[in-house]
Amino acid sequence: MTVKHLQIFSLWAATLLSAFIFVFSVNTLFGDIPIRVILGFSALCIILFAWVSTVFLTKGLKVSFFNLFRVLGFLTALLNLFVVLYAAFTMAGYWSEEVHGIFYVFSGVSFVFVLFNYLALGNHSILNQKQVQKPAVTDWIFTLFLPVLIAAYGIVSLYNQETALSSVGDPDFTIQPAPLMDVFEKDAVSANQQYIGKVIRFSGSVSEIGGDSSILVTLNAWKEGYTINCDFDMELKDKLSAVLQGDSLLLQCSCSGLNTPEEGMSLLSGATLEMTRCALITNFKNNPNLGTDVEHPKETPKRK
Amino acid sequence: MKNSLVLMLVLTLFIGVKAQTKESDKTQVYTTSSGTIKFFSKTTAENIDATNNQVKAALDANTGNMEFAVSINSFLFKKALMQKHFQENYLESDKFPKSTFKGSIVNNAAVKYATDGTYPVNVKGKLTMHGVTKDVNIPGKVTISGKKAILSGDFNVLLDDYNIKVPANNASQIAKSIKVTVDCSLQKK
Repeated sequence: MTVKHLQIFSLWAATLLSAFIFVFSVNTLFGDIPIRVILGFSALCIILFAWVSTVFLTKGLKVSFFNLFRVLGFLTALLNLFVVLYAAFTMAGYWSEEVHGIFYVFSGVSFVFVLFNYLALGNHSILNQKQVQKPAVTDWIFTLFLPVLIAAYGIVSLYNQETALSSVGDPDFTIQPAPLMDVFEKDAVSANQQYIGKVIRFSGSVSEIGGDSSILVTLNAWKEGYTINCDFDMELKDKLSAVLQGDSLLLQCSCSGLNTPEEGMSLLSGATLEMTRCALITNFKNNPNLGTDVEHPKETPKRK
Repeated sequence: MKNSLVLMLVLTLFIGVKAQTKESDKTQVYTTSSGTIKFFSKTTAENIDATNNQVKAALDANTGNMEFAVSINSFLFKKALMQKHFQENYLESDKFPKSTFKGSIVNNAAVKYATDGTYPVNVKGKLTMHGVTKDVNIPGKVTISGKKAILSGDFNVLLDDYNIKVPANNASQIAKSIKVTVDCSLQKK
């Protein structure tokens, strides 16, 4: 692999990543724009870069192409710099809008690729070549197949990423079910925005264990007409085998919200706090150090 | 005098039995908050299935009336990205967090709630999803087993009917008609 190959590779990688970022940004910011327009523009970007890089390979860069290349490279770098800054500010909590995690990574990598491209351009002698070159097979491999394969692998992996069986890792919030249900009842819209899909750590005592295709542990809500459903993947069956009715558990689940009957429904009553992808952190019954006193977690939101 | 006493006794017994029957009639409601609803989308590109094991359902045996309430966010997918798209983009769970069904068993008289067995039923009602309410007709079964009534059935939902838009770049992966399967085991209150 020569510097030229690295340069071509970085050009391609930056192109694909930029196209991805562009599609993602436009879709996130202006969801109403037809997807055909976004894809069309992205395809145009890719074709333009492919054309420039092919010319770069076969004929060497003439002054006009070099300028075009620099302008495009400069715009890409500027775009990615903006994206990185935007992401950094968002992560630091200055802006409330959330940006997908992969967005930061792709932007950063893309920016590095573009910078490398600039450095390589400045030093590599290919820019001074006047005569036409016939590209070697490896040139084409690096230009076309390798980056496309890597990008395809990345996209397919991202698309096929399986959902986690349980909510492991640090929780987003530590809050008991009773105050959580109060929040949902007071203002369902804002509670949905704040808690739905977030990992919650809480404790409770088991009133019922059931379920066919998954394990459904129902906790006592200590409130008339209310129930707390905690859904565990069937693969966690062994870990839950020792859990019995009356046990006090410390759990971590993804919050799906409070399911209350709609107006005009007379048969359904009460409300169910629905939790999915649950993980059993501690079964206090089986922890001799804790004795019979259950230490319930205090209500402490971990992050905004 | 003797005859009057016998008559009064018989009347008292009759009223007592009648009152008891009415009391038991009132408690003929079956409920659950752990029913299952699955949906399945089949295309040449991909098969997608999702399960919700936290369906709230109730059935009044006397009238055949039934109600379902389903949280969209409790549908679980195998693929993380698909779940995110389904909840956030297609069904817009932030705006429409729930789907409901309210209807009744048309041939409720054919279901013998006191006798174990499986009874074919036809359910008519209104299905609300993504903020749109449509009349639906669902063929299914009610299986009585002791104090349990198991409701099962399947039907197809056209995405267009409920104003569910799938972006063009995902259209090949999601069928226009989704098969919904219901399997809820309800317990007598």
